[in-house]
Amino acid sequence: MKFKIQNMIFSDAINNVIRALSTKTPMPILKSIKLDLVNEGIYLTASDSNITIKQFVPTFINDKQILYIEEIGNAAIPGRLLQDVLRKVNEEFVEIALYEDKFIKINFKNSDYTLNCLDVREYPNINLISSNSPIKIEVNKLVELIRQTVISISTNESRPILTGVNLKIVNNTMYCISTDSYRLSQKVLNLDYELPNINIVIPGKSLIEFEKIITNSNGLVDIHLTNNIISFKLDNIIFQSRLLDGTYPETSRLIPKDFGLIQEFNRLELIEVIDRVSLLSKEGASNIIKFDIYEDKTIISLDSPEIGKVVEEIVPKKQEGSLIRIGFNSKFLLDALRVLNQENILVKFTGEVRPFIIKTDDDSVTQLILPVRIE
Amino acid sequence: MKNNVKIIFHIDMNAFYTSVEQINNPLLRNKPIAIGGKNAIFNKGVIVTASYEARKFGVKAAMPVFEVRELCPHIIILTGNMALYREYSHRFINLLKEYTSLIEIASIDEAYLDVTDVCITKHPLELAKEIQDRLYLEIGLSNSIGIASNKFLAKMASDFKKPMGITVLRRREVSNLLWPLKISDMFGIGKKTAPKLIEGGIKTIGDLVKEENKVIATKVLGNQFEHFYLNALGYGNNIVDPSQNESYKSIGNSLTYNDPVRTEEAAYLKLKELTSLVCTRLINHNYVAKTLSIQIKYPDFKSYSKSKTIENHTDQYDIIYNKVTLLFDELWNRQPIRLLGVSTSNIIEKQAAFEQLDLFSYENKIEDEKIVKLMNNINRKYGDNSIKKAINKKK
Repeated sequence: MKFKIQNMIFSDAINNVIRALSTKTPMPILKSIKLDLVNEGIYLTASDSNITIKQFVPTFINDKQILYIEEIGNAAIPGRLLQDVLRKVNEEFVEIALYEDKFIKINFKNSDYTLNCLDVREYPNINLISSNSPIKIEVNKLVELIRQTVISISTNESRPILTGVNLKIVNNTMYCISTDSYRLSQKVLNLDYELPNINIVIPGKSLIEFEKIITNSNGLVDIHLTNNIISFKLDNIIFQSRLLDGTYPETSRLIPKDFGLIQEFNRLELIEVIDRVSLLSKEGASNIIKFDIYEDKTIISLDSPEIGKVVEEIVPKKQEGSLIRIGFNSKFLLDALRVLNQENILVKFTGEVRPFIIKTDDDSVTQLILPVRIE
Repeated sequence: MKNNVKIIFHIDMNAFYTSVEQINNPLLRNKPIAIGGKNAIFNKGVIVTASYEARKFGVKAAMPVFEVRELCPHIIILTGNMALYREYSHRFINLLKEYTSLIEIASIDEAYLDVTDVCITKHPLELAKEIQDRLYLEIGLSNSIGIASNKFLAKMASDFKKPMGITVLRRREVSNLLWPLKISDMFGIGKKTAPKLIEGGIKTIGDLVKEENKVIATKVLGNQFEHFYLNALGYGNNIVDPSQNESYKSIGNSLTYNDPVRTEEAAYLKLKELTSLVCTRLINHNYVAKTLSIQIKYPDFKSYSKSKTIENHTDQYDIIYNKVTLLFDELWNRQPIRLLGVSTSNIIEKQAAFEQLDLFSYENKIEDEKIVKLMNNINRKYGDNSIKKAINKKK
């Protein structure tokens, strides 16, 4: 295997697939990126056996030749090292060649790297799935869906199912739900074409990585499914992830529908206030803030015996209902506000020790937060 | 305030454990006694401390029991009674509290007092004498007091004359009084650090401030050098912080097993005992903890630990024991166990802990919603903490 490739394009592809690269693995070969050089271009594959990313870089992009092939073949190159070397490349093109099946030479300008590598034949054969009727969704819709739901996945392994996002299709309506049991995010999309009903749980971590890869793209993503695998295809990238085993808890009942108090705020204004108030938690105070809601104003405060306290007033744009005092984790609210897009938001309370929700004009998204008990 | 110089007392109980034993049991008075570990009766282990009567024979703290018996054959070695010592510790702190609330308890037998305000009306030496005499007459504890402008100098000063000494250490006197002392006597320089400094030619506290020793001292002390350097010059922290007394960084218990623990069942049993000890201490102090850890030591003395932070602060035995066993399963390599430890950190007072409600279970706790609402209304009207839940802090 021997080729010369435009470094910018190659690095971008490496930076995409490397998101699947293992850091800790019983299989050392999975610390490598697999390169398959064919006449049409080069395939890059990385996997940690849960997530697999494969990207194809064609010889020509927009009629411009970016890849010059001297000898086709394949190789497994230490991933992190390759990425680091490519970062140092100070020329448009970089030359890569495999010698004696165990050395990779990387050449550019006056530099000549020889890296040890494992035998590519050790690389496991990863089955990439495909189905006849993929779900099609626009990239920007999918990015928004992921960003608005992954905030609430659990980072705690005690209930593994909650580290994922529940994707359900019921009668052509798509529901995406995540909760760490202290907050919940839900996105509901009406699909304008026929689809079979499904109910799966996608690891939140996979979605976070996939979102980073596609965030600046556009077009349609194809979603393929099998019993335990989901695969996203966009242009020349395939992103495949194992699904989580188990039944996701039923949450529809848990989202309140009747509210005792509704407040309307300018989203960015509220973000600024919460951000200022939670400053103290960076110094080690807990990030529990209090909303003291009066007729004419709302007092937001954080009080820490060790650090000190901060109080700020905000006047909602509108307010209706009975006044309450409620405490909750400021991070939950900030996360929720930051992934919403509209100018104004509604905070809908049901009671001091009951969940409240955040809504916007875009009815497809619901953010729910459980308060803490304060006395 | 006419100047910023504070007056700090460091009060140190002399031979505290043995004194308490002698107060508690008249038969032990004026006799050489020492406190050893559980194995002291088998002539094993080391002693923790010795009475002044025993020290005359050359008996010192941390000396092996057999050596102690060689030096002083008629010595009485006791196994120690921490509950009793704690009780006496409370007594002397309570006596000190009659003078000021600015007390920082440094350990079971010593405390710092900021008496700057008290000394507006009373001369420091007169005050020190009064406190010293009352501690001796009313509780029976002999003690020595250091008086200085910061905690470091006060601590060093209380060591000058023992027992029943009162020493004033002024900053301008450090070159005469402090610098001739051995570097190992400097507060904060431990058994491991001192030999390294001595090897580098820093034998006294005075050597530490010499310009030519700066490089070697920095090498040994690292970023702590500045701190010790300033201390040696007589500067130091002069803030007596009573909140130090309250804030436990961790609460834990560990036990060494002479007969190593070999089976899982046996280990679980030990973990149960340790966890319940820890929980009892948490509850008694009215604390809740968020980080749980476990420590295992094997016969080769290698020690391993692992910890986990949970979602909500807790003092619940079930929750803690459950996590502790999970940690144990992950950590144990199936070798015999010499020591097991369970500890909790990330500790706060129970009242300061907020209970994060859980989406799947909050409805079970909704019954006291009315109470919460009522309390919130009262607190809003009359100010925070007008009404609180009745959880009493035990002594």
